[in-house]
Amino acid sequence: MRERTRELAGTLVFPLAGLALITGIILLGGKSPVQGFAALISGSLGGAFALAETAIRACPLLLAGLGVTIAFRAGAWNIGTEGQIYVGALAVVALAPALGMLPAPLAVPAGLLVAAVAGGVWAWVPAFLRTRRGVQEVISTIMLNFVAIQLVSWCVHGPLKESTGQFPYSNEIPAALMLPRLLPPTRLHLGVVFALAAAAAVWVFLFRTVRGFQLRAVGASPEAALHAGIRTERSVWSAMAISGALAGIAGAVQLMGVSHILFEKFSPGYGYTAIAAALLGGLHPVGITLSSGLLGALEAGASAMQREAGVSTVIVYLVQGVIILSVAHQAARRRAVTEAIRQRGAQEV
Amino acid sequence: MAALLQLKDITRDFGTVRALDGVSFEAAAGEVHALLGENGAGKTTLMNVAFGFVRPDHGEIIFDGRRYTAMTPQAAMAAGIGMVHQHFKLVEEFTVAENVALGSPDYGEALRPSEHSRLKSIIRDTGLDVDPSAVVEDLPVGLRQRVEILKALFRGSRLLILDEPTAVLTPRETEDLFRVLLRLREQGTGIVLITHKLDEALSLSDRVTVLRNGKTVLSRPAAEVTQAEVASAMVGRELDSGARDLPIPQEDILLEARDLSSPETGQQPAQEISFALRAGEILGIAGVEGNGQTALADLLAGVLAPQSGSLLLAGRDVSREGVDGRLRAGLAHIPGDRQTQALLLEFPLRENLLLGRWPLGEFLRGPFLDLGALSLSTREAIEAYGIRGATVQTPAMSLSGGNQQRFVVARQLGAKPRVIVAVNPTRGLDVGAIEYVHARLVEHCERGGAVVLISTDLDEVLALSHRILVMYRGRVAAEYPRGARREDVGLAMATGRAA
Repeated sequence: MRERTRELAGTLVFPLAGLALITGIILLGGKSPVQGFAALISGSLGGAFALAETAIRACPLLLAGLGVTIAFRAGAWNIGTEGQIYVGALAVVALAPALGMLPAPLAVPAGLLVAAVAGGVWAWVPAFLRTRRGVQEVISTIMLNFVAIQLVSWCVHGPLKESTGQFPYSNEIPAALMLPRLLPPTRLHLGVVFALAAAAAVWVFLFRTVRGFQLRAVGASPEAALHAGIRTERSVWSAMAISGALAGIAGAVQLMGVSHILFEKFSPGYGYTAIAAALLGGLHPVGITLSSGLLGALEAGASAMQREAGVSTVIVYLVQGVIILSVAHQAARRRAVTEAIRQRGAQEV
Repeated sequence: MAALLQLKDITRDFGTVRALDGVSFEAAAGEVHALLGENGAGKTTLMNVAFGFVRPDHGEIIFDGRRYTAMTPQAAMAAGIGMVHQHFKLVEEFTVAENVALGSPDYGEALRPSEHSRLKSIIRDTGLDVDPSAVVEDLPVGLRQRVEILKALFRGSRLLILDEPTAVLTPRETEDLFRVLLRLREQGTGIVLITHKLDEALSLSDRVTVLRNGKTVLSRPAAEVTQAEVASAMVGRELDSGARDLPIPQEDILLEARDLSSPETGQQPAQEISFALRAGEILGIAGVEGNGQTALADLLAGVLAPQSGSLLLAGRDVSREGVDGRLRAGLAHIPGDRQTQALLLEFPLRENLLLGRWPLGEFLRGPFLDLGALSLSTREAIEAYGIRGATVQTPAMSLSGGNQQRFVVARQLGAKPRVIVAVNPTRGLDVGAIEYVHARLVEHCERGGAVVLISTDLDEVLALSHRILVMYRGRVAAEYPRGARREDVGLAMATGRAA
């Protein structure tokens, strides 16, 4: 019983401390915490508009988070989702004139495919460098983020600048490439359905196919996978390529569903938040669906909070930080238990 | 004799498992105390309590008259307890002296090269002959063990705990070790020897203690007990002893290696290995660890592609097949390290079954996994091999070492292979589990299969093989028929020349 109480206290300590901290900071800013939190909730969950905003903000997080999951499960640390998002969107914009000639039912899948290939190739390069040259993918994927972001920046200042040549953003994509709205006048678009379908597909892939099992085996123990005849190199390549493809699709969905143009800072760090979403969701498609929903809700609520209670959106990043810390704390506790069991196993050898 | 270490009424739970249940234990100065037991019996856990790696839930530790409710490794070392683990904890790039200095309070003294230094005099007094300026990675296993013992002695250990010290040694090295231990005993050092080799325990020790399921079942002077008594105390029943009757091999050749050589991978490569294995035959590959057996095992299993030469399985060339292709062709392997090579420790048993069997495609329904069939096969393996308390969802890491190995053997035999390549299939297992694994391998031969048994345990190879090849520096140095003398094979292992 005492154990149980301690467990519960351990689980709650971070969220409660975090809540207290945030309340204190809002008070210090001379605003009402009650009003602030109320706006946060109503802006993300109160009504169709708020829910639609939450969903479209969760959408790129979910898609990219699924990509992160596949890579991490295979033991490949793809920190490059941000860059893969940019590259995915860039590829669609670059080919938009051609893609736009296709009839709408073909243009959208073709656009997603183009983005998937671009993101996949962008992520496969670090995988190749790791398996053949021993380059740490943690470093190379991050570096490729900067390359991708600068590449987009150069493109929208140069070859892809809008037709009048005045502003540093691309032309609007052709209508055939725009994702249909599901519930006008809200901005909810078809991409949300794609994201949920992707979550289901990733679940089936990871837990119900031999290939998915092989990826997880390579991630859990490359040595055991090797001795079981699994091609570890190929597994890492395909995990990274799928991972990058999903991130690329996340970029395309954001472009085709929401922004319709490409510009600098196109992604406000979706790729990094997606990593948080993936870890928060326990690298499991169901968990990531929930965690990206939560993070999406926070982002949607943030603007409402600033508008209605005058509390800066920065507070939301504080909330995100607290959530991530508390999850990390939980994970560390779980790991300590696992480690104790493993120690016992090791002793018995 | 005065008790140096007293463990009183030690109890320790791991989750729901009671690893130690009111165990008391004493080690005296100038005495060798053998601690025996099956895997999971608690012997290593008990010594980890003494050394401070594991905190007891209940009980007390008295060392040299001082009372501790819980030890820490730092306190244990300061008080004079030294532990030599099964896996050495040495910095390979450092010299012997540097390793001894590492973490020692008077490291300066250890690094002093003069003939009168304390390190040199310990080496002279104990017979732990090793050059302090040698780099550890250049030393064979037997000498590395000496470095571990030197480390403990240099810190002033008066009680030395050795965990399965002979598991990695040649017969010759074992003799050397025992000479050192006897000398240390004369000088008043207390020694606790964790082992599963009964003859060693009885020949060397003054006292024998046997643990079973976390309880002491026997603790008597070594002179008063027989091997049979100790063995049955360990497993809790009588054992059939002696060499096994092996089936008579048939005429047809199942596996043939022709001048197999491995590529350079940083470990000792195997070179120009040739043999022919008949149906119903067990071919033993003996050798001191690090003489190319790992490379040979990888070549046979398909983990490594050969540099040259070929491998024929029932007449078909499988040299270019990987592990998966060879399994489909009828060759299964039991890797040498179950925890890192054969199992995914965090994964449930069901997925661990899949790990070894996926190439056969038997658990597929269309493109998807047939979890029902997978669970059924896993449950069958669990039941047929008597893996108590496990379900298809049990993670592999929560099984004891013996049960992990039973599961791996069950899984690979379940693939119904014609040839099995087994690498150290009983390393670290207890008497009961060894008997079990051996019986399964012999059974496989009786059904017309064949086995390549690669083992560093010479007794195992002698007991189980129709023929024995001795590997030395990557080559086959000698071949012996069944019934060869242990001394002869041991000599060939150590020198690379047939006696």
